[in-house]
Amino acid sequence: MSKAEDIPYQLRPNKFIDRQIFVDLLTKIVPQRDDGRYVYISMGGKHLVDQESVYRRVGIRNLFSFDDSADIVARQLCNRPTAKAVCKEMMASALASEIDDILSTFPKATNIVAWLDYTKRNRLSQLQEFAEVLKKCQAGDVIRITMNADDRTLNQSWEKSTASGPSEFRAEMLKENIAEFFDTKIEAIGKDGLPATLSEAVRIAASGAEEEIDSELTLAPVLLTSYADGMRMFTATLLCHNRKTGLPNGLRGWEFNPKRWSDIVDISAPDLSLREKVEIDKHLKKGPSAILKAIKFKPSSELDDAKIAIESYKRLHRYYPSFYAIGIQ
Amino acid sequence: MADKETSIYGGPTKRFFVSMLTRDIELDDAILDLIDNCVDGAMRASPGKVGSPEPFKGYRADLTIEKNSFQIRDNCGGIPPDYIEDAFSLGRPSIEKDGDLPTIGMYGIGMKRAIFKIGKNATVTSIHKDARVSVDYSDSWLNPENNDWDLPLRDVLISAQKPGVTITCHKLKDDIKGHLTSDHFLNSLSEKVSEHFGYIMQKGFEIYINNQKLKPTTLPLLASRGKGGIQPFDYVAKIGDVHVKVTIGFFRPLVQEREIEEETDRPTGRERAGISVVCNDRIVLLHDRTLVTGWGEGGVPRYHPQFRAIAGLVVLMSNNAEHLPISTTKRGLDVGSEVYLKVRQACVEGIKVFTDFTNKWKGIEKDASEFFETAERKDAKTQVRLAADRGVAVRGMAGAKKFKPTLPTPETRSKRRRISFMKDLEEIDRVSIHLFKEKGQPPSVVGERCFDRILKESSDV
Repeated sequence: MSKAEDIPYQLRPNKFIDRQIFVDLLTKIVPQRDDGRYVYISMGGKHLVDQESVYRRVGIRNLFSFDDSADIVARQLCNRPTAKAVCKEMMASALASEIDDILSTFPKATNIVAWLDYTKRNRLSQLQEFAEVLKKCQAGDVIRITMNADDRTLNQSWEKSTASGPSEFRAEMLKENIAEFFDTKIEAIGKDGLPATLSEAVRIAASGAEEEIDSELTLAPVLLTSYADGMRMFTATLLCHNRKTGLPNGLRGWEFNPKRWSDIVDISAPDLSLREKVEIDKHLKKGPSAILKAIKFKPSSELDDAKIAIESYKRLHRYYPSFYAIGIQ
Repeated sequence: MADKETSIYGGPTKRFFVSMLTRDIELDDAILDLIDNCVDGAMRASPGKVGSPEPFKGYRADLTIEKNSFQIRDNCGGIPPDYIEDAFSLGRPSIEKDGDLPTIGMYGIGMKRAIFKIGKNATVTSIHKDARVSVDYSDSWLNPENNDWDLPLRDVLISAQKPGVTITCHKLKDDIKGHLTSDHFLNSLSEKVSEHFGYIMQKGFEIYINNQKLKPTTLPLLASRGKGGIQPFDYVAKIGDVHVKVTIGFFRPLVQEREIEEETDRPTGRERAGISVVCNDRIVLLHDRTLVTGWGEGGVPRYHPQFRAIAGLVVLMSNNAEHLPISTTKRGLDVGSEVYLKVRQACVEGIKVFTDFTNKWKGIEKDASEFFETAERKDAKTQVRLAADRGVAVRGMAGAKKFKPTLPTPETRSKRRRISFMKDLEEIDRVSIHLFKEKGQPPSVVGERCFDRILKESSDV
């Protein structure tokens, strides 16, 4: 049975881009010369692709990955970027209570970057676990959550319910699913509206956590994204910072920094061959319609979708991956 | 020689009221108390209409919660002149004055306690057709060390405001400031207000928080069309001058084994199971799953996640709030009262119908799904009238009627038994590959196929 985490990254270009932007974000928060202050904590998966990126591009050497399966942890130990990286059998629900112990494993560590990368639809417990980690935050900590935002996970037909339409039904179902994190102001969720609703849920989780941390600290969204390589996903990255000092200088003016919780970067990278990519790159200064006219092919069969794909490519092309099959002799 | 007699002050101190009594109540409950007063005002302003479908249409409460201030304003008629003194005294309710109105404020403490909980100071302005007054709770009056109890009462000479009461806390207490204005608190407050006043809102009352109109949350139960299928249990009675309605049933299909397993690990969604109690249209107990509403008593099993489909509503109405089984906080029950003991008996009888059904269909929940798919949702309070229309008399309770549904039973249930056992996951996968040519099949599927196979072999012998 194939699970999302089993699909290789070359078949998930949008997730790849999402991760690249996240790593880009970290380079603006974490000091360029690693002084051992930060620990990067993530679920990692069996290949620890994110840990590798964070180690290589951000320079964090204190790496901690976890999984609830001993088999996965055994593979993580094989794939870890450095011999000092720690891989542990642990549930995500234990992370909040383990943070102090994790930090004590790395002598100079005082801050964390933690990524809870969920795929299943049990969003209530995911948001609760995320909120518990937020309650442990200190200034400079970065906490990220990935959640399933695919409306097919609200799987029942609305016609059998008492809801007046599919949008109202989605709202009812999600309210059942995420309980206290559901924004009571929302009465309907449109077809592509789940990421925005989950963003509000993360806002409520952060607001609840803020009540339990030092009153001088705040939890600000610094990157909100949504992408679909099959299932639609939503990610939120929050930075804990001092209210008075504000965001780090490196983040001011960063193009993906959200001004509000609804500013979600939609990553809809088209499926392009290298030749197609080169062809589009020749016309990047033009608008989406002009590019489509110039390149004489559509990256999506529907014109509107093609325009969205070109627009997304224009914005994200520097993160766009090119995967090749390489034979090693 | 006679003993020398002296005396000491035995009265309350300001500190007791302004900084100790407030610890007995949560911030959101204090705000609900203020809304209760608005609703009581609407009841006084619309006498004679209480039994009509929307007696409170046109009445509303507006809450404005900002960084440094709190305000609740209603258009519910204001404080009548003969209530004013009691309204600002501590612990002097005006129950007798309400006569035959189903108001709920019977301890005379709610508004004041809420003000003490929220503000460093406050102004209460009441515009009534016969009296326009304003009272200031100043910073110095609210100082716990200040034992001056006199409150200046000012006449409001000119006001464009419609009859109603406005309470404004101009400065918030430091310990609640951050909490009150957080998105998390405002969201959960909205949810709580929608649930607690859902039945009042159903009758036309409107509540706004920061200009956002709240939607009522009420309990819909599943009921099949016609006779048979799934129906709620329904009971109506009049105990003294308290009208009682107990309605219990299923609000969702039966819980299946996999969901129970998931729930054991972590919460899977909003918990709506349990019994709620409504007194004079206001929720005083929400989703209770304890002895208080009869779980684990009189042959009813204790609550367990397998009963997550069962919910119920107890509705108690009386024009004399003192006869309702409400505790001082107005959000709790006086479980020892005679009225409530009878209510709990009805709950026990009702819950048992549905726990029995759940147990009979345990393990074959899918076979029962057709009953749930064809049922429609009916509001427990306003649309379920089974006791009144089709109920039988209750022995020893004059005028009481109950409808106890006969729910479907599985034909072969008496011969069916559950088999369950634990095995190593790797071993289950090995058997899964052996049986299905792939691993990862659910353990219950693997176990059932093994049994079926051996059963067939034993039959072939």
